[in-house]
Amino acid sequence: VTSVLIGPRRPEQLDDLLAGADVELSEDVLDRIDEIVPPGTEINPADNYLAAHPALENKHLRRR
Amino acid sequence: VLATKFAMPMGADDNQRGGSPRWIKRAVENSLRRLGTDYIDLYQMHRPDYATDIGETLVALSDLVREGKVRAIGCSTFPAELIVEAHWAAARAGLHRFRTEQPRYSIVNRTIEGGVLPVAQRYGMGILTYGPLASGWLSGRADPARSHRATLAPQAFDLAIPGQPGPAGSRPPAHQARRRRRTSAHPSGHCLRPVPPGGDLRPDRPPPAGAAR
Repeated sequence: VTSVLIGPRRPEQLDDLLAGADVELSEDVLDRIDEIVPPGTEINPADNYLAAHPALENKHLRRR
Repeated sequence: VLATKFAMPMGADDNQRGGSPRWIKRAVENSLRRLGTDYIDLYQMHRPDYATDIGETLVALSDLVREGKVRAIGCSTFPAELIVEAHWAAARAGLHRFRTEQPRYSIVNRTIEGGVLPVAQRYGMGILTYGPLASGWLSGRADPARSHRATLAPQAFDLAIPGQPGPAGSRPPAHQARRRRRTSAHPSGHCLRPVPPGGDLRPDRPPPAGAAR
């Protein structure tokens, strides 16, 4: 990862986010995260950020 | 680094969106005018356009690079296979290629780890992740169901849908995040590193160790 877009709207949000800049998560924490959301998966596949192939949303494209 | 995007709808007309050469020529002029600049450092395709050949899009974008209006091009929220297709198309036709990908990435959205990240690493692309707090789910404060994103994609925030982040009426991800909030917004822990001008975006530079983790 080259950079992270954080998108703060208020100065206090920026301060809050910048506080995490130098934090390195421990192996234990990363392992725990892997247990909650396994690598390569996501919690909510329905939230595709408007980037799904049209055939997933239009049955006529799938069935022609 | 001044970066902006094209391809999301900018009007009611079907031609005011996507990756057609016709629209790209207009969109970039509109962006330059609105931004009050004569060139853009990084011009990104906001979403895939499955109605336009990616080679045609790359021809139009390469023209912009050659004209000096754009210094580098990138893509955003592209699937791995389309990134590969775009690189093959660029190589075949001697066109400029996407130097960056901007994917969604957070503790709860890790899909890119299986394809997009390895592909980007292979091609030496920069990765600029968005949504580190998952549209508010991980902020521990906001109500994502009433967010701007929720108005765009209400189905994504309907807690009654199976597989959603928790049973109807509860908000467990936010609850869990409250405890995690001060650790990091980013699964790798390497968050918020700003991109230096001409720095990590340089395609000839290998990604830093541990990148794209």
